[in-house]
Parts: sequence; C-alpha cells; structure tokens
Amino acid sequence: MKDYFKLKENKATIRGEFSAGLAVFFSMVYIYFVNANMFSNPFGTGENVLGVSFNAIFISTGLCTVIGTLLMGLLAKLPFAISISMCSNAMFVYTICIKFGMSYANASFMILICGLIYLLFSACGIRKKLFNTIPQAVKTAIIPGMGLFIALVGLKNAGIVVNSADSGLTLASLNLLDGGFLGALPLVIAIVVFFIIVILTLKGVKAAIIIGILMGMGLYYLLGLAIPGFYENLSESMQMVSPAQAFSEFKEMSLGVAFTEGTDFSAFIEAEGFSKFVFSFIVSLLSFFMVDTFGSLGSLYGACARGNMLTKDGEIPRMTSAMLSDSIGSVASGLFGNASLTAYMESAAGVLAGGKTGLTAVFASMFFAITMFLSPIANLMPSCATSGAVVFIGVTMACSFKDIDFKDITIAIPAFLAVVMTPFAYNVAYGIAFGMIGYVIMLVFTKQIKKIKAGVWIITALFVLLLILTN
Amino acid sequence: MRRFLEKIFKIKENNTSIRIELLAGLTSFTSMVYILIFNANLLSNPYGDGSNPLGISFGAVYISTALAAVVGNIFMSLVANAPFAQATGVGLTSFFVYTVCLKFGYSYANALLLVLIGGVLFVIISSTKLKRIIIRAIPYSVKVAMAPGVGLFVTFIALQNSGIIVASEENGASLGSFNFISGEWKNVMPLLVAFVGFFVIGILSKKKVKRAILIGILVSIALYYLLGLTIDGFYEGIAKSIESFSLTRDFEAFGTEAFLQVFKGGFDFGPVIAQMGFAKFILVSVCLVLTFLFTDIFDSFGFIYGVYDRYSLLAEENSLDGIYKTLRADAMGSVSGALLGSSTVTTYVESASGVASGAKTGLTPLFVAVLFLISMFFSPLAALIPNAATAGALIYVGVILIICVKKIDWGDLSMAVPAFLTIALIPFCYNVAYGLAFGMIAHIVINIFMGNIKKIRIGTWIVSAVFLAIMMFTR
Repeated sequence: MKDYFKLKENKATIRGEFSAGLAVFFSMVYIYFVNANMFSNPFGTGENVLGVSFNAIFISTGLCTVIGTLLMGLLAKLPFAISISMCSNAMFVYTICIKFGMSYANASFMILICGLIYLLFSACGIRKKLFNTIPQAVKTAIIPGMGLFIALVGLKNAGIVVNSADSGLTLASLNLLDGGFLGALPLVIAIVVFFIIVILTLKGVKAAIIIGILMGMGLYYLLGLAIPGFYENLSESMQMVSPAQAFSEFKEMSLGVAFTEGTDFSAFIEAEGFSKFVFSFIVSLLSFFMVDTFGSLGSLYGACARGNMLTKDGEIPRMTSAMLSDSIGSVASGLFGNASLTAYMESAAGVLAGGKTGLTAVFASMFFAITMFLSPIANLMPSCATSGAVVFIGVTMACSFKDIDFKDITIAIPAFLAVVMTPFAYNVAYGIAFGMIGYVIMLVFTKQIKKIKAGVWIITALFVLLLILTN
Repeated sequence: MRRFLEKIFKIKENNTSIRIELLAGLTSFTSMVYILIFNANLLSNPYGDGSNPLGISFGAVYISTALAAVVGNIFMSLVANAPFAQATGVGLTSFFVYTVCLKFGYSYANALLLVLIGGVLFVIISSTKLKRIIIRAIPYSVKVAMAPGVGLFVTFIALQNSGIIVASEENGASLGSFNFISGEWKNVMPLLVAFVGFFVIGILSKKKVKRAILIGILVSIALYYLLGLTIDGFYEGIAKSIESFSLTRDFEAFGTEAFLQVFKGGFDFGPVIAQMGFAKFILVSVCLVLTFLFTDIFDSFGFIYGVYDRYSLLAEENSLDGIYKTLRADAMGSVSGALLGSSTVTTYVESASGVASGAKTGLTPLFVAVLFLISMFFSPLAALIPNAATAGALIYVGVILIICVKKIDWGDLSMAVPAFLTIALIPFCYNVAYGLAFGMIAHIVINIFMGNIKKIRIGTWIVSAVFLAIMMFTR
C-alpha cells in the first residue's frame, strides 16, 4: 500500500490520509440525503413525481460515489472524492423530467449516453484539450470564484445566509426571542466550528479541520440537552433503513432501468412530436456535457491549486486518469439510475486536512460504503458542523485573488465575470462560460483577435448555444 | 457663475473641471434614478398584490423620495463637497417596510419616527468626537476588504436589476434565462443590453476614452429603445407607465400622507405596545433605531472609504476629515428624509459610477440634486431610463473596486479571515453593514485566542456588541 500510493515520496502517513479521508467524507456525506430527497420528493410536498423511492436513490448514490471515489484514489491517485453532481441532479429532475416531461428511465438513459461520451472524450484526450484551452485569465479566476461559491454553500447550509424573494440572498434571522434556541443552534455551531478551525490553523495544528468538525458535532449533541424534545426528534430521524429493503427497492426501481425502459421514448414523442424530441435530447446532452465537464475539471483544478498539487505547467496532475475516473463513474450512474458524477469542491477539505495521495480517496470511499449499510451515520453528522469547515475552505481558496492581474482591463473583465458569476449563478460552469465570453469579446474589440485559439472559439460558441437553448 | 462654482467647490485644486463634474453627475443620476419608482412600489405595494398595508400611495412616495434625494444631495454638495450622491436606501427601506411595519406592526408614521431618531443620533455622532471612536473601531483587515466587498455588492445589485441573475427558490440566486427560442425575447433583450453596455465601457476604457461610462449608458439606452422595435406592444407599455403619473394628485397625496407625517401620528405607539407588551416594545424599538443608525453609518462609511481607498485619496490619516464631513451630510440627509416621509437617506453605492467617471467635488451631487428636482416635475424621466442600461456601468464599477483585493495579505490567516468574511458577506447578506459586522467579530475572536486581546480597541468591542444585538433582536 505504501509503495502503491508512494506515501514516502509524498511525505504522507497512513494516519494522516485516514483523517483526511474522514474530513472528505464528513464534508460530503450530505449528498446521500440531499440527492435521495431531490429524486423522491422534488417539490418537498411528499409527492413522488419521478416514481423512484428514497431508498433506491440512497443506495444508488452510495454505489456511484464509492465507485467514482475509489477510482479517483486507485487510478488517478488523487485525494479527491467524486459524487453525484448537484447541478446534474437538478437538471435531471427539474429540467429533463419535470419541465421537458421525460420519464425517469429516459433521463437515466441520457446520463448513460453522456457517460459514454465523456469516456470516449476522456480516453482520446479531447476533454483534457478542451479544459486546457481555457485562457489563463479565466482559469486563475476559477479558484477565488469557487472560494466565494463554496463559502456561500457553507453559509447557506449553516442557515446564516438564506434565500430571499426580493434580493436573492439575505442574512438569516438570528432572533433568539422569537426563533428559540433550536433555530439558532446550527448557526452558532457553524460559527464556532469555523473559528476553531481558524484558530487551530493559526496555531499550526495540522488536523485543524477534522478536530473542528468533531468538536462541532460534540457541541451539537451537548447543547441538544438544553432543548426539549431534541433527542426524541433525533431518534425519530435516525430510524434505520433496512439495507436489504433498500437494496431490493434499488434493484427494482433504478438498476438498469436505462436499458429496460430508458430507450423507449415513444411516450414523449407521442406527446410532444419527434422534432421536439430530437431538440430536447440534444439540448439535454449538451448541457450535461458542458456543465459536468467544466464543473468537474474546474473543481479539480481549484482543489489541486489549493493543495499546491498542480504540475509545473499549471495542469491537474494525472488529469487523464482523473477524467477517466469520473467518466467511468458517470457510466455507472447511468446504469444505476442516477445523475452524472463530478469531482467535489468540498473534497478540498481533504487536502487542507493533510491528504496528499489517493489513499485519502480510498479511505473516503470506504466510509461512503459503510454509510450505505448504516444509513443513520449520514444523519449523525449535523450539516452545521461541516459547513463551518466548508466556509473555511472558501477563505483558503480566495487567496488566489492575488494571482489575477486586475490592472489590465482585458484580463480583469473576463476574470471578474468568472469570479462573480460562479457564486451568483450558483454554478462553476456558468462562471467559466461568462469568463470565456468576456475574454473573446475583449480580445476581438481590442485588435487581439489572433490571440484567440481555435479551441476557445469552439467552447465559447458551445457555451453561447447552451445559454440560448437551455435554462 | 463659472468662477463662483470653481471657487465654492475648489474645482481647480481638485484637478477636475465643471464639465467633468456635470457629466459625472449625469452618470450617477442615471444609475440611481430607478430608486424613485422602486421605492414608490415598495412602500405602496409591498406584497405586489395591490393591497396597501402601509396606507401610503405611490405618488406620495414618489414625490417624497425625489424631494429627499434633492435635499440630501444639496447637503452632500454644500456640507461635504464630496463627489457622492445620496437617496433613500433600498436595503433600509425594505427593512422599514417588511420588518418594522409588517413584521413588528409599527405604523408608517411610527417607523418614520424611529428613522428620525436614528438620523438625529447620527448627526450628533458625526458632529462630536464619537465619530472617531466609531470609525476607528473598524480594524484594518476589515477596512481593506470594503472596496472589493462593495464592488461585488454593486455587481450583484446590477445583475439582479437587469435580470441576469434572478432570485430562485432553490438556490437563492441563479442565472436568468437567455433562452429566446422557447422563452420570450422581450425578457432576454434587457439582459443582452446590459452585457453590451458593460463591454462597451470595458472596451472604451481600454482605449482610454474618457467618458467611457456615460457613453456606455447612452449606447445601452439607445439600444434598448431600438430593440424595442422587435417587441410587440413595447412602446405602448412605456406610454402607459408614463401616463399613470399625475403631478397635482401626487403632490396632494405627498402633502397629506407623507410630509411631516412623523409628527402627526408618529408618537402613537398604542397598537404596537398592546401587541407585544411594554418591555419587549422598548427592547425592539431600541434595536430598530440602532439598526437604522448603525446600518446607515457603516453602509456609508464602508462605501465611502472603499471608494477613497480605490482612488488613493487617503494619503494620510488626516484626510479622514473628508469622510467625516461626508458622514455628516449623510446624517443630515436622513433627518430631512424622515421629515419628508422617506426611510433612511444614505450615500449610494451606485454613485461610484460618477466617481469612476472622474467626479471629485460637491458639484456632482449638486447636479444630481438638480436632476432629481427635474424628474420630480417630469416624472416620466425616471420611467424612461431602464435598469438594463445602467447595469453595465455598475458591473464595470465592480471590476474597478475589486482591484483592492490585492491589498489584502492572503498569506496571513489572521488578516485573510476577517477580510474574506467582509468581502463575501456584504453581497451575500445584501448589506454592507452586516459584512463589516462579521469581519469585526472575526477580528475580535482571532485576537482573543491568539493572545492579542489588548490589541482590540474599545470601539471595536462596542460596535460589535451593538451589531450582535441588532442581528439577534430585529431580524
């Protein structure tokens, strides 16, 4: 094991990798519930629109995550985790199934096709080329943009920032008089965890992140004593999903459904017409492809930059294998009836916790596997405890602001667009899209049109198409 | 006349010209005139369903907002000789409507009284030594983050006003639709206008064209009306929105519903006290006044300091004098605003577009005041400048302000953490003051645990404590 992962060369230890894997797992385990909820209860009303159960997606999510992350560890030997993309699943459920009106099986079939295309493109090195054509002005900006984005995600998970109908976002109510202590508890925990991590890092403690998360969890249950009914509610939500039951639902509703019913688009064609079918099919493929490719590679790039792991040329190390891992994973998720996979920006928690090799990912996938059988584990870690850590990751990514040359307006404009659109449009790929569009426009009108590479034109055109055709 | 203006505003000393100042005033005005209609809608129709829970009409608010802006900008011009413009703040107005009136049950006049008290306290603070204590309370790590934080905020406002970013139930914010194939072209057109405006300004400033921002705004306005040709019923809709104004009716409504309303019914707190009890009433009222006061102070200071910082106008500590004067003008604006029936009048981040166009003196807000006066009698003016046309300018202001992010020492976590929280939470809370509050709290926590507790200034403790109280009891 030590030789395979070159622990010595990378100055890593098994213990360090283990705790980094744990940090990755804790920061991402929310995906089990979020994803299963989105598929089985998309409107939050209990109405099961897609006809697939919570348990089935729970298991499917677990399998996809374990496979993807294990491949990332063994094949690409990188300390990052792969799981269901929070963009892809929303597109799957809300756009393709609910808005377009395709069946769950149809959408799974499309994911399968996408997975195969990724696989093909990854194997031929096309994806790598696509990503590497992103101009430096935009690439550098991905990292601070993601820093703001991930901080926003953390702040929202903690309930510090909430949605607002008039301004989009706003500060949550910290009102202890009205809301009671229960409402404010997660928020307080998140803030405490954040500061524990900051202070420990300042004092040079290596395991700051994992200590912060665990202390937050301890504090959560300790303070729960002060809230009447806290433990009763907890034990209710902890009810064990019987693994046998869950697996049988998974087998019945999700596994291979892409083949059995997914190829049959007749219902959709009958309702909407053939031309609409072709159009929707192509648009869906395009959006999955662009959003996943650039989202996944953007996240990997940011996480690697964070861990000082980029190669001398500023590239993601073992990029081809990394891309193969998420493509193979996406093929699997098509087979398992789930949305496509992506590298998670939250897995930067592993690098910050000292993870250096693929062993981190292997440990993380082990924890994900255990969770499949012991579903309460996923519930045990309150998301407020990890969201403090997630905001901290945001701070550490923002340091790449210093690498952007804001003085030259032809660089500043695309970079700024990438920085702001990532959090505000809630999507890394849109950040890249607007950065690229800004880059092309600025160069065209300042007589530097020759500097634009052919690949940049192609990707920008695809993004423009994506914006016009979807959303 | 020319000599007179040059003398009063020290035009030459400030290395500017009357022409530059007037054009900058025009730029600022176009970027903020939307407040007239926005504010009038917010107060007269807060639920968007035509019910009027505050009991004040559209026309009355329109006139009151315009007058408050006129008076506020005259103060800014003559008291401070500063290049910023002010008007009724959007954030505090929605707090006024949704929290003070609709959530806590205060009447419109009650709420105005709270604003008035806040304004008077602000005048007192800005005229005494208290201002120093409060302003020095902000640690360097937070100060340095104000320009980029405000830059992101201005951009976020502009992106939302133009529809490029929309509020979404699922994510809070998400990308607006550019899909004109299955969607509607009339919804996509303003988004494209905003982008064109932005890039026109970017390209012109790369080519060192001086009036890039104003040209960008004018080009976008022209483009907006030109593209209107492609939309059915576009001009009819505009004509209709213009017709709905009636000068005499609006002034009458202003006189009976808004003007000095604060003294007519402002002291009658009976219903509120009956509803929440006396002790809670006192606690909540104090916190609400503090919210108006502190949000106004720190919103304005954050913005003003950020812009000064960007343009390196703060050579020495002494030059904070300019900032203090600006704050006093801001405070006087709030007092007069409350008397005119308007929520807190505050320095506008949008007026950074004027500063970016070269404004350096108080002639700019004076001209803004003139333009607001005109738009009061010629109401359609406000309806004719689309948000999409000024969004590009404001996004460009974001680019300019974010440059200051380079001043932050990202390698030093004890500085990076307060700075980052300030930068991120200003746009995410949709409020400059809350961003500063989180930055200051981070500064305190870090210094306590790193053994530097003595380094924390007394003012920092006080201001942070007040902010904590505000966040806990008024939201």
